[in-house]
Amino acid sequence: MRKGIRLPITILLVLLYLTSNHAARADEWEEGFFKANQAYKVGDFQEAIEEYLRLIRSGHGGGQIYYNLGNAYFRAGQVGRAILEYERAQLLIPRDPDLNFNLSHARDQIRDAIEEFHGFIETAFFWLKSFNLNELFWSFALLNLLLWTILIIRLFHKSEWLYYMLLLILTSWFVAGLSFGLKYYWISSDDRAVILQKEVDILAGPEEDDTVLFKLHEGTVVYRERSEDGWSLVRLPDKKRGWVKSRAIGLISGVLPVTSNFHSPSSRQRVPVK
Amino acid sequence: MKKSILLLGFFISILTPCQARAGVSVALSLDRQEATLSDSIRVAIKVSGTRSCDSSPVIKGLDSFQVSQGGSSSRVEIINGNFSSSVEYTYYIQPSKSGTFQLGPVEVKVDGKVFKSNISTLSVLKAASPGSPAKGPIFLETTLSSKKAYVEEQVLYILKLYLKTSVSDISLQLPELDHLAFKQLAKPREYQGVYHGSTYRIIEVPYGLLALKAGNYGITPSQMSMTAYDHRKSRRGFFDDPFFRSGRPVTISSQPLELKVIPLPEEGKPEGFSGLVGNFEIKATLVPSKINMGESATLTVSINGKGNVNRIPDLKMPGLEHIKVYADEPVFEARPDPKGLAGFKIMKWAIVPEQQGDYEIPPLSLSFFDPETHSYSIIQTPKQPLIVLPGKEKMIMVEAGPGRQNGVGRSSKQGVEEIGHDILPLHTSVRNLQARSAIMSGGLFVWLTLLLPFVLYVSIFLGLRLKKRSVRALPAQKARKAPKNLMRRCRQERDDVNGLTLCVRDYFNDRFGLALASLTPDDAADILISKGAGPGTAQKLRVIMIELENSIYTGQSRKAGRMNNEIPRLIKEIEREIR
Repeated sequence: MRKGIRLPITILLVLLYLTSNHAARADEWEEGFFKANQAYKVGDFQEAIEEYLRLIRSGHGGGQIYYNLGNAYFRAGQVGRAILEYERAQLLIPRDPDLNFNLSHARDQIRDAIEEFHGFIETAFFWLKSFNLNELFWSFALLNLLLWTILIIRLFHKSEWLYYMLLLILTSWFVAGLSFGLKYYWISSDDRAVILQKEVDILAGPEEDDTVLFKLHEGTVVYRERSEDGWSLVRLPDKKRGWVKSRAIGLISGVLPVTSNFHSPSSRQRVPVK
Repeated sequence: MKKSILLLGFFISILTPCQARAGVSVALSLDRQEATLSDSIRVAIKVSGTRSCDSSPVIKGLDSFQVSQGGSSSRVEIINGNFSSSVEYTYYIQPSKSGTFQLGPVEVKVDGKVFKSNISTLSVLKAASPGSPAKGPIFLETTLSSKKAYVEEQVLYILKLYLKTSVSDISLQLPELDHLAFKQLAKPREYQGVYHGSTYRIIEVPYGLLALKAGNYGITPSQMSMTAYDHRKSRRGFFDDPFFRSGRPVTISSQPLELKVIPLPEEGKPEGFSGLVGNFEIKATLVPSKINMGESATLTVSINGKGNVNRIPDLKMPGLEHIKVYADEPVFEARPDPKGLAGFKIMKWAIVPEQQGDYEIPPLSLSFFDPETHSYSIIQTPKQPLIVLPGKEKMIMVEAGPGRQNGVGRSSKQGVEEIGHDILPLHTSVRNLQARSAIMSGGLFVWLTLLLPFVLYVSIFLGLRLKKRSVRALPAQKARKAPKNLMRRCRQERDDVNGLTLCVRDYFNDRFGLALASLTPDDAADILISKGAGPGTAQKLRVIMIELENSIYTGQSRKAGRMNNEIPRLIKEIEREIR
């Protein structure tokens, strides 16, 4: 075989191998997904939970899977974990009506009546909750492309309409960029955690024999300030604070791929989901 | 001359307001010496000898009067050369009790000095008795439709204002009594009427009066305040308008009235009596009266009448076997009427039978006390037959009533009732199963996506700048290379005189950034001198160029070889000098 032909054939074979390997893995993931759904349908919620978790660990943390996992936990009677997964799903598919209905329904089951806190950013940039990071990024990227394209055109041709177009796109670019940046910051600094146990004691310090300050119940969302030796300092929107065992809470953005890729500079400990 | 002096005097009088204070005097006058309690008396205080006072006059003896200001005016008069100035204050007083009163003296302070007025006497008589023909041009009369009433029975309280003169700014103060409620039934009505032989303009306002508790009520007089204008027949026309006349404030009172309120009889009082007093009627309709299973019919019951309509109760539909009943919100409307308060209430129910068959909607009853018959009445709707035919079991369309807005006969929707609570099912689509999208898979991709357009822009921008700069640098480059080019061409054009001439021209063009088509020896010498070359060198080049020209025109090309050597040497010299 001639030397000139050998190289393209080798590249083609490698590509074929990679494609077939990827397809095989996709089939495997889909099979896992169907298996989990089937287990859920026949009422084997524990099996469904394990399958969904396996998919998530293998890198399939799509919003649909978190949603299904939340459903499975809800059916299994674990409202806290269900809320945790729904909250995680909401970061990825925030406008999904089924998800919002189920999350609202699950929240209705919570015993603790705690007002949800809305900070200035959440109020001023109210649309951030309705878009996931991906959508905000692509909006910004598109506007970025448009902006620089117009600037390039203006190097060769300057006209009034181009100037106004530039102003319009520049404003949109700024808003989109700010939204993307804030969303990124919001996700990377998201300290919300969900109480996973039926009832937990919130203590004055990270010791078993510390004074019990108050009790929280499954599904309540708290803010984790820091963790030390298996204990987490949590805070409620009304500024009540106390220590709880880390295994009793689940961080909402704890295992999300978004946080692992858009790496946060902080060295926070991530609490495993399970 | 005299006129000028008078004019000067006039201005001086204006500019010196207190020039005549030595002759300050205060006079108090009343427009009458005798008045009744309902009269308004004009009090005039004239301060002569000044056009302004330090403060408002203080009138003594007004303890038993209501005082209102009527304004002030100042006056300057020049009569036969004599100046006089004065200021007049007007007040209106209304006595609050009868008797003889000493008004005054009035104290006025002018330039810090106090001046006192005279004293006037005023006799105040009691007001004429009601019904007396001796009534003034303005009076108020109130009447009750009945002097005896049951608790919450509606009594008409008619208020009539009799006028013979023009008035404005009328305000009314009704009696304020515990357990008595007034409600205006209609807008004021104005008409002409005769009272004891005199024609009056009458303004009538009807009020509904409800007593909430039994007892004898002494209804205190109603009071009306207004501004009245003197009616002078001689002053007709445009200036007769109240706008051009000064009015006087007037307050008039009606006569006191009495009302005896008796409790509702206990005898015959129906069970669950709502306290409804008046005259009412009830109507009911069931539409349609024949329906299929799964459909609904609407029962509409309306109650209307006169009396304390706000007491009309919401009727309750009794429980019916195999029939579901959905009540709609009742519609209530009170309609004030000159003859009394009236109103209606419409109630609607959606009747949804659960089984086929013949049904009968039982009568609904309403009890009220009728003050005309002095007894309780119970009225009720007729029984309403409802035939339910077999039909498909389908979604029930509740047609019930609606009358929430305008609604007689309009269908309405009913709120969806949540029966169960549960989560929604799984998502089974494999689309978007992979969380790691192109963005999430790597930071480099993200930065490339964002930075690539910027990098592209910067590259193009820099490219353009570079290009522009290179175009600008071209003449300098040419100038730098001009001597070398000349020498090279001199070597090439060894025997061509024409070519040598062109070489020199091109050297000049390139070296000095010129665009000459031809170059004369004199021009070349001038250019060289202007660029800093020595005159000797310039002259040498001039000579060479003359020789070249001569060679061209004489056809002596033999000299070209010699010049080939001379020209480069000379150019080197020129370069040294002009550098």
